[in-house]
Amino acid sequence: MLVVAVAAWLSAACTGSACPNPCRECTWQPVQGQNPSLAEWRTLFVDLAERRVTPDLPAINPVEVGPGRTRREAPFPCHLLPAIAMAESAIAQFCDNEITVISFDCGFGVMQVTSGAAGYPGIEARADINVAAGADILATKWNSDSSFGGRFGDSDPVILESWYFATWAYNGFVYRNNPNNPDFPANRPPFHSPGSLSRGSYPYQEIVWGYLGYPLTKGGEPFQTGVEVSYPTNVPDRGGLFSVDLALPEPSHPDPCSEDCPPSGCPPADRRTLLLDDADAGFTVTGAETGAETSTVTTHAEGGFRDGFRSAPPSRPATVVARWVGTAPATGVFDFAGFVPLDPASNEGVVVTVGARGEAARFVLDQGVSGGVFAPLGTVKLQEGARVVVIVDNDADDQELSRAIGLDAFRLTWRGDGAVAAGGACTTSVECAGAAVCDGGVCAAGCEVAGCAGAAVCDVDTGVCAPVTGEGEGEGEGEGEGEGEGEGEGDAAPRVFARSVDEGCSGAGDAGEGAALVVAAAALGCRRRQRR
Amino acid sequence: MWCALLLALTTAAPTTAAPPWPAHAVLVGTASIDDTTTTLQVLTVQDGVARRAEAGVVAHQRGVVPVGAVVDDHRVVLSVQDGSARDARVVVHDAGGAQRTLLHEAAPGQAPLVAVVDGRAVAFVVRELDPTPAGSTFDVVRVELDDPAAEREVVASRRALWVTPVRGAVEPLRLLVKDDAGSGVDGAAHIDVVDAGGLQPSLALPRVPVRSPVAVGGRLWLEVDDALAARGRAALRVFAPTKPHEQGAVVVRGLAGLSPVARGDTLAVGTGRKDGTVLVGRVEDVDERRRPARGLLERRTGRAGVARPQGVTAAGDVVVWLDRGVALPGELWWVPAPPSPPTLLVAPPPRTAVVVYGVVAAPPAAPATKEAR
Repeated sequence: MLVVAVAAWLSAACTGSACPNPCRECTWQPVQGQNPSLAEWRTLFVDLAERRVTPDLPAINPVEVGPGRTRREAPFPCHLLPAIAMAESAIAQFCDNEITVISFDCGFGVMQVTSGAAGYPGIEARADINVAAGADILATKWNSDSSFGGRFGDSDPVILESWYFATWAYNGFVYRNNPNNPDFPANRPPFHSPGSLSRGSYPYQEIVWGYLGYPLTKGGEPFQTGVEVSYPTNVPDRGGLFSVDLALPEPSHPDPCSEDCPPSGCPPADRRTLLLDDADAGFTVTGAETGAETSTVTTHAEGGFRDGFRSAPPSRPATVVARWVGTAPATGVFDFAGFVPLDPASNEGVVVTVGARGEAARFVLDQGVSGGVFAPLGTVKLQEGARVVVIVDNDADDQELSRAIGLDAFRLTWRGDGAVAAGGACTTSVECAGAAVCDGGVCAAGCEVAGCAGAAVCDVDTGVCAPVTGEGEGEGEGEGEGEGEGEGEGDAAPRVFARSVDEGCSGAGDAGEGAALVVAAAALGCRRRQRR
Repeated sequence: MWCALLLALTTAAPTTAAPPWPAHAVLVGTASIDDTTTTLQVLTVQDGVARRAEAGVVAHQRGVVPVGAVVDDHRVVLSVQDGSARDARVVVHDAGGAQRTLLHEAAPGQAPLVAVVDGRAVAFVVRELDPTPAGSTFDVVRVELDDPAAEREVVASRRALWVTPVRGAVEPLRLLVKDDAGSGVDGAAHIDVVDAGGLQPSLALPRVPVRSPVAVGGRLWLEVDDALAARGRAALRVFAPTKPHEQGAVVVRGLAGLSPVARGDTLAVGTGRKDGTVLVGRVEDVDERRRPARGLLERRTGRAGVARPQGVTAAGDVVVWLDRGVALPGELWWVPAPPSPPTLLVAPPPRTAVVVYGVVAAPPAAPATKEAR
C-alpha cells in the first residue's frame, strides 16, 4: 500500500530538478495551476523588464544607475530576465502535472525564488508575481555592488554586460561561480551553443549568458532571439565578498525592449545583418602566379562558417588578395565581426580592410584562438543599397609562416545610428548620423551631394572622393590590391558619381538609378573637390 | 520516513555479477543539455572501428552530466546531483547497471568532486558554501569501495575558496587548494598533501589562475594562464616540490585548455593549437630545460580543432576531446600509439555533453589502476 502511494506520488511529480519534495518544509505549499502560453510569457517578461507593474505585483526595487549610482526605476535589459528563467526552471511556473515548481531547496516557480520567499506571497501560484519577485531580487543584487563584485563601466542597466555580477549574485556570490574556478574548463564554448559542455562546466552567470546567445526552445521555437553578449576577462580570481570597478567588456550590448530608432526608423529584422561568406558569389580570391608557396590558396571543406573556408600563408608583400562584396541592407552603424575558422587558420594579425560608408576602416583579426565563432572587430558605417567591400590580403601583421590566414566570412549587424548631426564634430564617419560622412572633422553629406574637387571622383558607395589614377576601373580602392587581379576585380572598383561642386552635372536626379551612377572617371567633365 | 523510503528506492540493490568492461574501454557519461537523463556509455575500438554500448542511466538532472572516475573493470564512481545540488550523492555504478550509494550529503550548491585512490573513493565535499573571504568548509572524505559496511572517514577538513584533486597522484593524496585566507590577493593557491595531520601545504603556486594539476614523475604539472600573452592562452608548467618557490618551467604554451593527464609515467597534454594534435611522452624523457621542451611527441587526430586529452593508458593510447569551436559540436577520439590510426569514438549531436570518466586498465599486463581522475 505504501509502495503504491509512493509510486503514485512519483508519477505525479514532474521530471527534472525542480519539483515538490515531500522531505522538506517550504514557506509556501505547491498549488495547482497552468503555465502562461508562449505569447503570454513573452509579454510578461517585456512588461516586467520595462517595469510595467500592476498594483497586485511585488514592487521592483529601483537600481543605482550611472557613475554616481543614482536610484532610478530603470528598465532591465530585454532578454535578461527570460534567460535567467531558462537557467532556473526552463521557463516553467508549473510542472507538467500542473503543480508549482518547487525545488529541493525551496526555490519557487519560474524564477526559483528562494531568498525572502515569505515576502512575496503568491510566488507559488502566479507566474507574474514570481517574475516580479525575481526582478526585485536581481535589482537588490545589483544595488549590493559593494559586496557582490562591483560595477562594470558606468553602471548602465540597459547594457547586458553591466549585469554580470548581479546575475552571479542571483545564484550566490560564492567562489564556485567565479569564472576562474579551476574546475571549469578553459576556453569553454558558450553554454547552450552547439559545442556546449555539461552545465556543471560553467559558473551560473555563464549559463545565463549562454541562454542569451543560444536561447531555449519552447513550443518548437526559440523563446526569444539570441543576442550577442560579451564575457568579462578580468574578473578577480578571488573569493569572498569583493567590489571592483571594471571596464565593460568589448563590445558591450545595450538591450532595450523599446528601441531608440533614428528618424528614418529602425530597419526590419531581415535587414539588420549582412553576411559575407567565401561561399557567396560576391567572394573572389586571387594570387600572384609566381608559383611561390606563399601564393598558394588552400580550400578546406569544413571548419569555417557554413563549413568551408580558404587559407593562405602570410607573405610580405602580399601575394594573395581576397575580396568580399555585398550590399548594405540598411543605413546606420553596424557591428563588424570576422569568423575565426579552425586549423590551419591561426594567424594572430590578419589585416581586414572595410570599404563602407565614409573612410576605409582597418581592423586586425586574431585567428589564433579556439575558433568556430565570429570575433568582434569594431563598428563600420553602411548606407542602404551601397556596396560593402571587405579585403584581406596575406600581408598580415603576423608573418609567422606556420600560422596561415583564414579567408572565410564576415558579419555586419545593425546596432543603431550615429549620434552626431550634420555640421557636428567627428573623428570617424561612424559617429555621424544617417548617411553623413566625417569630412575634415565635421559630419557632412557625402560627395554624391557635395561633389569632389580637383582630380578626384566621387565613390558613391563610400561617399568620399577618390583620386583619379587614370588606370580605369581596376584601380582605386586604395588598399594596394591593384595588381594582378583577374576576373571579378571590376566588381570592387569604386562606383563613381558624376557631380561637380559647381555645375551639378547630372548626378542628383540619378541617385536612384544604380546603373547610371557608374561613370568612368575620364568621362567626368566636372570640377571636383578632393576630400582625401 | 519518506526520505528513508525514497533513498531506498533510489539505491538499487546489487544484481548478479555482470561481465566486466573490456580492457581499454572508455567510459563516458552523455546527456543532451536540454534533457535530464545521463547515460553511461562504454566505448571500445576493435580493428579500427568504434563500438558503443549503453550501461544504464546514471543520473537525472537537466543538462548536468555527473563527474566521476573509473575504479576498475566493473565499477565507476560518480558524483550525482539528483534533484538538487543540495542533495548530492556519491555512487558506485557497476557494469551490471546497479548503483550503490557511498555518500549522501547535504552539500549546498555543489556536488562532491570525486577521485579514486588505491581502490578507495575520495570525495571532496563542500559542507558549507560561504561567501566570506575565508571560503567554504571542505571535507575530504574517504570511502571504502569494497566494504559497504565501513564508515566514511573524514581525513581532512579545511576552510578554503576551493579544493580540487590533483590527478595522477597515488599516495600521498594531493589537493589543489585555492585559499586567499582573507588577504584579498588574487589567485592565491597551493598544493596540499594529505597526511595523518590533515592537509599540509607543500607547494605555493603563481598568483594566476591555475587548473588541471597532475602529479607524475615526482613533479607537478599544471596549466596556468599565460600572463605574457592575451587572455585565452595558457602554459603547461612543471614544478619540482623540492623547489617550492620556483615559478615552474614552461613545457608547452598555447591556447588555454592544455588539459594534462597521466597514467603511470606517461603524460599527455594538448599542443595549444587548432590542428587536432596532442603531445604524448614518458615523463622521464621530458626535458623542460630545453627551448622548446623536448621529450613529448606529437600525435594527430587528423581533424581540425583544439585537442584536449581526457585519459591515457599505460601504453600511451590517448582519449582526446576535440573542441571544434562554438558552432560545431566536439568529438571524442581514440588516438593510439603509432602506427595505429586514430579512431572517432563519438560524434555527439549539438548540445550533447560528454564527460569522460576514464579508461579501463588492461588487467594482466598493467598493475591495478592507480590513476585518480
